[in-house]
Amino acid sequence: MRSKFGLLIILLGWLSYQGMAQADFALPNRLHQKSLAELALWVNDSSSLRLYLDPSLLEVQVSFESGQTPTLLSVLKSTARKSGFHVHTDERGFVYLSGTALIPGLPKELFTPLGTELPTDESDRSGYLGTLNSRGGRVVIAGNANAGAYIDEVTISGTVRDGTNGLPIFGATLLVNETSTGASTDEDGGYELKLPKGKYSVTVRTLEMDPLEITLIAHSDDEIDLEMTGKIFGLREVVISAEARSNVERPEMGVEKLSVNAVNSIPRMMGEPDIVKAALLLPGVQSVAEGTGQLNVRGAPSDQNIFYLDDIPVYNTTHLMGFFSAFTPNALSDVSIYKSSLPSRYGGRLSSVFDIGTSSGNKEKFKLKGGISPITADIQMEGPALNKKLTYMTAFRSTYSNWVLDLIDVPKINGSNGSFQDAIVRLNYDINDKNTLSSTGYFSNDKVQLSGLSAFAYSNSGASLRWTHSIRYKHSFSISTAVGRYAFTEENVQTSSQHFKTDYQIEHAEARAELVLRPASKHTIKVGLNSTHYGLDLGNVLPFGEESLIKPIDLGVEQGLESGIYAEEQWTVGPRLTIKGGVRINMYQYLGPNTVYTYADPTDPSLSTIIDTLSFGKYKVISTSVDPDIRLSAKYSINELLSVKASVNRAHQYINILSNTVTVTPSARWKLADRNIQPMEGWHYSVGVFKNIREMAEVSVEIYYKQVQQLLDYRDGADLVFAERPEVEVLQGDLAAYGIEVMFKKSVGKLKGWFNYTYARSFVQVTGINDGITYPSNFDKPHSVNLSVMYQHTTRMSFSANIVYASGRPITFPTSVFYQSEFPLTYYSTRNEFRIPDYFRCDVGMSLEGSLKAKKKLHGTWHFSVYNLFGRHNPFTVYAVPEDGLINGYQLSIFGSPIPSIAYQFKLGNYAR
Amino acid sequence: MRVNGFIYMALLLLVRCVDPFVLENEKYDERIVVEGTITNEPGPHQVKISQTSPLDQVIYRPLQGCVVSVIDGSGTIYPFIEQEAGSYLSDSANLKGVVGERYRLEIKTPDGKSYESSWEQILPPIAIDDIKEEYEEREDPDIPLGRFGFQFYVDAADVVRDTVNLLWQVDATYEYRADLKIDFYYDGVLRPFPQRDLFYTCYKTFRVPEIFTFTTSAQDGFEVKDQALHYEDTQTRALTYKYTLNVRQLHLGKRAYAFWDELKQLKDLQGEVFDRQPFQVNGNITSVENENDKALGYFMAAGVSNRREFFRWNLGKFDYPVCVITDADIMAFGDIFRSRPSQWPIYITAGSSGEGPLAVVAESCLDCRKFGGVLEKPAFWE
Repeated sequence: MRSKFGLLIILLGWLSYQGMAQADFALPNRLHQKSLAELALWVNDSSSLRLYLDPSLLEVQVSFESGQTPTLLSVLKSTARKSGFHVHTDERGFVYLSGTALIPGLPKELFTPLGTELPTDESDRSGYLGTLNSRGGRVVIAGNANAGAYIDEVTISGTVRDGTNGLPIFGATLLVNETSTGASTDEDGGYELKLPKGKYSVTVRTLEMDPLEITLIAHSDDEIDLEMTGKIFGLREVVISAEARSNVERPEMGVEKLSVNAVNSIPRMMGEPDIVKAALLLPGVQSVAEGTGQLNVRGAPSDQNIFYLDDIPVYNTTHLMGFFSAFTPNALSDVSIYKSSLPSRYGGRLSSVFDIGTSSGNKEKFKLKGGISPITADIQMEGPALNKKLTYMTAFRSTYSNWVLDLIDVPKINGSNGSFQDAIVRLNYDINDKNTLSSTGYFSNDKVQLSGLSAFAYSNSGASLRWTHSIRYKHSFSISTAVGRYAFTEENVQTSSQHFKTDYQIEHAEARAELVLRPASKHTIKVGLNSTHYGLDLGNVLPFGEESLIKPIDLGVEQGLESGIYAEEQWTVGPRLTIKGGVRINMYQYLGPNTVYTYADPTDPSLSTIIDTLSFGKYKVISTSVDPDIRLSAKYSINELLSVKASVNRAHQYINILSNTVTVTPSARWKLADRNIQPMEGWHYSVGVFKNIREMAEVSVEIYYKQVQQLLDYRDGADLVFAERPEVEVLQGDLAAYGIEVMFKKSVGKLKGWFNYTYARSFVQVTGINDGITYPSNFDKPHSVNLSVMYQHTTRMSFSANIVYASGRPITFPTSVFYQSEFPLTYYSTRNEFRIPDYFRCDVGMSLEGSLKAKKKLHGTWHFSVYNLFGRHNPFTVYAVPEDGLINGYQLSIFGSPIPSIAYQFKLGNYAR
Repeated sequence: MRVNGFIYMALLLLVRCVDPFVLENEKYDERIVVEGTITNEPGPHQVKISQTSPLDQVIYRPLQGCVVSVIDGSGTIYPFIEQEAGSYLSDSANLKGVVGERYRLEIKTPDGKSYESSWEQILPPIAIDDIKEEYEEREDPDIPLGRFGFQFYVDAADVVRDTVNLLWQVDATYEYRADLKIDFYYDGVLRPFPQRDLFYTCYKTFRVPEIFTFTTSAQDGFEVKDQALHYEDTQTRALTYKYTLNVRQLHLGKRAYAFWDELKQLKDLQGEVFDRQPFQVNGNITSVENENDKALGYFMAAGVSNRREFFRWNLGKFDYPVCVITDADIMAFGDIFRSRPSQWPIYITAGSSGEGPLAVVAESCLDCRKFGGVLEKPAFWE
């Protein structure tokens, strides 16, 4: 415990002054002449007792009286006599040292009507719905009256943790109901409240968990750690985002968080809830077109995003080439999207980090839930084991979509089949109250066979392990390691003499160590180091079948090592100003074995200008790059409900995807930076205003400008599929993107939802492409509007709707016709000179819960959705085709009609849990 | 070897749809277009010069009045004379394409601009081994019973070279017939038609509007076997009597091949999700005064071989619309006597036997030329 004036934490269990009694024990002689601070540390570390003391007493010297066996209480008593402080204990034997005498007994206000603690036994939760809204709950007394006698304002700080696994909770909000003020937790669960002395009702909320109600009696400064338990599995509870208050409070910008519950509540495409695609409803997150899996964040290519699933890097997040996300929805808890202020711990990507969290498993009892949609079925189980020290969660989903393909009366589809599966397993093991191990395994797989054309498959697999050590419940240290692998294979059987098979895989192995320190309430320091090994097997192209004349091609292997050391501090400078700054030093090494070509003009390499060829052995360093990253953000609170922020980020990226298709195909290969392809460097500047409207809603406006150097783009006519020398197919240039994002969120009440408008531009300039003239990127969509609303009609019935509008994406389109070989052909514009028509879509959904009986064996929920309600033919692309001597224009729409769906989700147990 | 983007897109066919899209030529890009080839064939060699046209007005716009010449590696200049609008021919006695020789094209347009091509070398011609067909039924969502027809293939002779780049230009000719013959005509007076089957049999020749390219660079060995040409089905009269293909095989250099292969890729684009993105395909002809002013098209030098193959089938099953005399057609015969001179002559048929009731039918039922053919039998017809 730490306090400016002498903080005492007195829990509800502290009953009365007991005098100097119980729990006395001998002290080692080495503590003689040591300070009380050292004595306290020894006591706290070597016993179950706790010794709390006024900071003013920290340097008081302990003295053992001769001829007497030194015990804790006797030593404290004699020292107190000499130094003039007071010693108190409570019924547990916890010891409190203060400069002034404490008043024994509890404050009278404790016995004014207060709420009762939320029952933990779900059988007592029949009043669940009412309890959520009640005030009161556990009583927490901060500080003591004497210490706070001469102050008006107190500071309460601490950490909010997940009671099921002890992990800090990021983005939890603490709302002081009487003042409508509050705070939010940072990435390490830390928070700080500043309040006038008094008694308050505080509500702590986070995604996926029961709100925690506490009665806070604030006497003086104190540190209070809070633990949240009780995961809500009721689908009714729609948490759009717990970020409303935290967006105002925290210094970071461009951070979004979506819970799986929120995603469950919005209309679904083909009955599948999709937490990654739901991100498209957020400002600044775009996709080139619907039905594709790539996300473009703030005008950047999709390969500048990275997806982590519990630390596991996932390189292809889609099933069926982009229709669905490759994650079992029931296994997930939430996704945090960092669009701007990338935490220092993340390196290697310029644009964004999607941090997808899985459900950690129920610590109390076995749970089972599942779902059935027109496309898939899934099941999820979780529960405790090993005397509740271990919790497990396992989820599996499989498609049965072959019947859908059988319905398609198109020759190339008949006789074809496709399927996908994914599975997630997570284990949490509490070694003791300070050490936790958690591990996650992940697998996803797609297999598609197209009659007479091709059979291909791709898969993700990975695992992670993390050890977290809590140091005095305040600091923490963690070591984690993770590996993710993506593999693709194809057998192409279109022309017998040209049959071929090819394969490809990328492996990303990462290890990290991180120390989080909170030396003072206003400082949180994070230091760490990590290292990532990229292993790319670019694969082979091999003849397939006896008649194939295909020449085998070995595209080789690549490997690189990206290491980083980082330090970051969040400093609460004053009540209004918080600064968060970090630096990260990256060292990237491109490693052998490989053969590297030197070109006469490195900025414009071509096969005809190779001037030298160098071969490197295994693990030999071919090229090295050391690059500092910068993370800097600041928040200034104009008042408790209004803040302004600014941030600057500099990052580097050492891996790119090679693609010249509209959307990235599953077969697209990644390419490491090497001697010929330079690492990308990005700067991202943003400013914003964040405003809370009482407890109800939040409005924010963010303006950003980002710049990427050494952006990779393809040359006209490039063949990137089997490029043996990719560097001659691409060129490097600059990307500039800017925009403004306006967001309105309403998080409470029967009607919840959000509305956002984004104006965003994204331009590319590459010497050698488009005659060096700047052109819009594929994902330059100037205007986009998203409206997502959910209405809780009754406890059992809710409605939802999405309305989405976006400017059409840029395309390269014919501008004229010319004749060759006696027939007309089209001549195209400069790159991305035109734009397809705008996009508009409306979806609706309804959820119908089963009965709300508290005790029941099975609870089910029906979800009815219509995707693209108006059946609008939103263009994916427009194109021109020479036909019968004319040039005819066509527009392709992915979804040409409304897509209705019904899905059913169930869980064993009652409604609430 | 090419990865067909369609294979991914095919899965999306369940819900996707394709609608007509009105093309608006917001930014018409007018350029000169050149198509010329110097080959090992006797000549004369031809260079065609035209201009681009807008998307919504697709016409061939020949560019007349250019000064055209070809220079060989030794500096000899061969002038080309404009024979038809935009068509410039060499003097066959003067310019003979020589295998291994290099050539360059020079053009001066009427507005004073000068263009020249890169040097192109004639590579040795490669013989065509075979042209063959295979009966194939294809399902088509727009045709309930599907398509029936023949897929044509070409085999080239083996040649031991590092890489062989080929372009095939395919001319098809077929014989077909009108549905009915003319028995009478009316030009104020009803008269017997002098030659009943005058407009009955036609021959239609056309350039198959597809680009066929192939390179051995991705395969082991030099075998060019079963390379797909076009597919002809029974939706037209092409397969009714006799069909011939003349395949012109051009052995190209790497850069010329890339030009045609890129054009082929763009022509095959169907707007699919995984289509590669289109781009400007520029040839080898650039303005002398302004290097950013590029003419469209490619001046080629190529070793050429030709092969013609005749086909005759007895399919007995066709899907093109056939004229059937209806009562309304018979009643229309009475109306010819009230017709105006501007409508004359009016052709009258007495049915396929020539003995049925007189009827007035659509001209396309009686005159095969209405389907684009000519009456003259081609010289190569067997």
